[in-house]
Amino acid sequence: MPGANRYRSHNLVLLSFFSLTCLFQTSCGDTGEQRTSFKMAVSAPDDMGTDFENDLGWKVVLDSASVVIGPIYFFSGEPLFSMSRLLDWLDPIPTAFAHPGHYVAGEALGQVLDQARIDLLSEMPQVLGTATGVTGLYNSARVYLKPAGDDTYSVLVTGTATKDQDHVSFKGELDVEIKLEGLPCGIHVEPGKAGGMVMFVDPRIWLKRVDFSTLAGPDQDGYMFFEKGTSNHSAFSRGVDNAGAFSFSWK
Amino acid sequence: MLPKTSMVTLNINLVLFVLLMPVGRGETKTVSNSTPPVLKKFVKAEYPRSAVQDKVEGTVILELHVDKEGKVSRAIVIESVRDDVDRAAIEAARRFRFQPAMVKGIPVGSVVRYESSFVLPRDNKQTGERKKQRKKKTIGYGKAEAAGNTGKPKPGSDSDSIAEFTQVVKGRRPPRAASDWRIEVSGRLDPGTVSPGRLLAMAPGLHVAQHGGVGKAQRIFLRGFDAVHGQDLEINVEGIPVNEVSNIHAHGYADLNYLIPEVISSMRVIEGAYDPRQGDFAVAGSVWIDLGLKHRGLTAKAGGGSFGRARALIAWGPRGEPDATFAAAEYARGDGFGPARSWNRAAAIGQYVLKISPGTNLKLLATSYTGRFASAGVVKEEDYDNGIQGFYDTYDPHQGGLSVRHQAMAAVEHESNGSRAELAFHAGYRELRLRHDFTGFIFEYRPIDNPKERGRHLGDLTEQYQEGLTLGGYGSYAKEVRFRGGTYALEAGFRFRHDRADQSQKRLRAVDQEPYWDEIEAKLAVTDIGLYLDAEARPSSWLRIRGGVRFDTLSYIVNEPMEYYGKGNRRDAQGVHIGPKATLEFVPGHGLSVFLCYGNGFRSPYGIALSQGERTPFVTVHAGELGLRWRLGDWLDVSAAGFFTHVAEDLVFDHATGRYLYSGATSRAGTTVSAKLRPLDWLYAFLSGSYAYSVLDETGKLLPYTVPITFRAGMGVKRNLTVLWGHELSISARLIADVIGPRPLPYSEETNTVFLLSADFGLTWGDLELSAEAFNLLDTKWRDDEFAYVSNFHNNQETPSLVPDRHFTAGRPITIMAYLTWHVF
Repeated sequence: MPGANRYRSHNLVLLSFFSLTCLFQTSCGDTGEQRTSFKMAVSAPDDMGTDFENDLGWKVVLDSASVVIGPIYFFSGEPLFSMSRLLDWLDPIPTAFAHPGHYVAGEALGQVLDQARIDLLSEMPQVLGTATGVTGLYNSARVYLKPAGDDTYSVLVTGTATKDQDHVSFKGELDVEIKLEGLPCGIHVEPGKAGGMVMFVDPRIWLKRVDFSTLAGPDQDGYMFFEKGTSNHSAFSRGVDNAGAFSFSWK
Repeated sequence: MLPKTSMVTLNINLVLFVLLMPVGRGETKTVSNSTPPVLKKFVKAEYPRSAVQDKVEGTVILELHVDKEGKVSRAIVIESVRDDVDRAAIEAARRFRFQPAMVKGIPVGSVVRYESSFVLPRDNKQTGERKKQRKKKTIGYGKAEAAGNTGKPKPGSDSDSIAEFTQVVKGRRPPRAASDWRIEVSGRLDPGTVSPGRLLAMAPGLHVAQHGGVGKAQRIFLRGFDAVHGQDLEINVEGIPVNEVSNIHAHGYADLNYLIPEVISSMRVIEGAYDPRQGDFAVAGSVWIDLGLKHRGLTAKAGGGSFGRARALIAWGPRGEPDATFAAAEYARGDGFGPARSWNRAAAIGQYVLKISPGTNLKLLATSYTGRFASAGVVKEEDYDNGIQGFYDTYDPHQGGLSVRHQAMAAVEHESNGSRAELAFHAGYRELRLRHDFTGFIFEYRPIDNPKERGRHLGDLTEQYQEGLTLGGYGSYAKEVRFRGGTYALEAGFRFRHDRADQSQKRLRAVDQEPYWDEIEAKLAVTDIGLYLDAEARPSSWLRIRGGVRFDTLSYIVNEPMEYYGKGNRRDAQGVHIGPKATLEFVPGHGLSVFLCYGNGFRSPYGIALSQGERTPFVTVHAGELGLRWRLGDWLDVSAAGFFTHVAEDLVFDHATGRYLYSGATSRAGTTVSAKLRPLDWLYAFLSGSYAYSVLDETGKLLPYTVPITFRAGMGVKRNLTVLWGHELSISARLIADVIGPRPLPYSEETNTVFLLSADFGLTWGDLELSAEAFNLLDTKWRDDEFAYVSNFHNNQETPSLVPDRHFTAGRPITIMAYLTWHVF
């Protein structure tokens, strides 16, 4: 196979040689990327514990954190906020973008069409399904969180929040479809690469800006909840919608 | 009994060093110490009995190699009629004796071309008229007839007993390259050529696919180019361009379905861009199709076969007129080999050649065609694998189209001593409506200005419509001069065409096929004026030098009235392209010719993609070729060529969106080989193969969708069996194998190799002919075309697949047709 990265017309002799060589082979060269498939798993971040403190000083202990994920798509388009943008900021030699500030997904390179409920407090990554696609740089991802099957929610989190003398048993639940666009991925999927992709979902970010003292409730199960239309529901929704809660790694 | 002659006219022209253009009336001028060969002994050819009984007429063109003793050392068939007729012409020609050509008083070898015409006898009156006519100039390129010996027909004889034999000299354009093919089509149609576009596949290395139904232009592949529907292959019929500039469906769209296969007499296919006459779209090559009807008199043909196919043809070639004068009409229909594949068409073609003065002919041509067809579209490979979709199924039965073409041409040709001029004008009306759905529910547009349809999934069914008018013409003047023992020829010519087109593209709702979004609305006016200069020098018997230049100016006016909120957007652009061409031909003898060629060709830009004031960005191709042709006697004819092409800024067609995308520079290299073998009088064989290696310069990666390997081999028999009730019974049969090698697809995939076996069979008895043809004898399930793109045919909005998948269009299963032909009179 000709390995030329750059090809110029003056390489007539080279091309002719390769063409003659290839004449006697059933297959010679390729058209670029290759089809591939790999396992896709979902997990909470490695440093995830069951307790943490949010921005408003609430100490939160999670009893459960579930999310219904899928499908997931991977694109060639650069995400809005990625490490490369950060590097661009640190190294401010201007880079031209036709429409800075607008995410352009570009070509779809991979996808996981399965949907599954993922327990984020599980100690092991849970397999979402098999991703299919083509090799290349998966720059960004589109992730859907939406109710499916018996799961009437897309995101469900329960736990206890403590601040000073206040102890709140809470339940956060979203029953709508959430489309997360342009999530930074930055993984180069290569043919025959061992391992699979893991998507980390950090439920701590969902509750980062929640003031648990103003939750509604309790409901029939005794949980205080995020009433739609309230600032806390909005803070929870924005937390779920926060791209920072999602990251990708190849393991 | 076969009386040999009625009229014989002979003129031998020294074509010693001039094959580019016709030469004069057989003068034997002495120029610069050189003299051409002069015929001293003429031998009349015998009209083969079998040809008379078959009522076969035609003209054999021979290239005679005259040695320095004046003997014919070799006779090469340049244009064939059929085996027995060719042999008769050769046998006679080999017995000619010449006074050899002389240079500075020394005898030298020379090459002479002459034409041997076999014409069946008429009644006395007709024959007399023909004799008068033959004393005038004949028609067609390069013909130069001379007065000569005139035989006399047997008074009162009929066509079974008297043969008329004429010989005239004819100069044809010599090949510009080893891969400059002239293919005689008449009577040699391939099985399955009920679709005329498939005729193109008779050229070595040229592959066509039919992914849009019988009635849509074929997808063409040649020399590593995916010419889509014609963007890289220039096609002319009797000099009229077929490619449609900036057609809404595909640039250079070349719909040949308006042609009736039986009236196609020959094709010249040049692979490469080495001839200055080649213009727009001549990137991979050019095709010139000549029309003519060999059988004189009235012919009726009807037949039918698999999948409801039926076809009726009536053709008339007035006796006493040249093959180029004829009229024909056909009607054909079929149910198709699966859902959404029915079609029907009607076509009529008439051409008349009128001799208006000695050496001057007027040619009039008119064609009319309408065809309607359904199209099954694609099948997603995954759906077929999972049993969701059958191999011949369709997702959307509303695909298809209607195609209309009417055109007329008037041409005047004049030949005089050593010069030739032609002038032609043509006009054509074209209408095309296509509906296709390659994607299902991917690109559907949800109108925000119609609340009722907001959020609904309306589908990707797309309607494309084009209505256009083409006016054009061409002219040329050719002249030869002789200088210092060499012969030099010069031809200057022009071609122009002006196209006006209204085009639109709409999305249609899946539920009721009503339009819900106007994607494109455009009016185009495109003018192309091309000038060319072509020269040839033959300074010695072993060297021919040809070269020239083509200069084109293209202008565009594009009006998109829907743009800018209905205020419209009008823009214009103009640019020029200059394309030099050159060919060196070495003729070392022993039937061998070696060609070294270079050519610069171009493709015009796609109209609606142009910006205001843009210098029209031509796609420029540089093509080079080294090839040889070798003819060994009458039983072996071989050609082989290695080629290289470079395209500066190539365009690739995205079938899913119907848009062109720039791919950057591309290069191709490969080879084409062709051989014809005739080991026995009644047995012949042929094979051709091509290999093309096509890459993107930027990455060195293979170009997807090209056809790297084609291979065709076949053999046939044709012989007389017996005489039955006073009429000869003859049989012909042929078997053809086609192989299409693995084609590269995106993502380093490739298609499966396709192997197809076809056959035809004919039984002729007197004026009746029974023929049958079978396509895909092994009933292979084969993919005629394959694509990789994103689709969503099942309207899955929950988890739609966004990664490109493989799709295919199903190839035709075994198809058998049978015809009965009656040469009425």
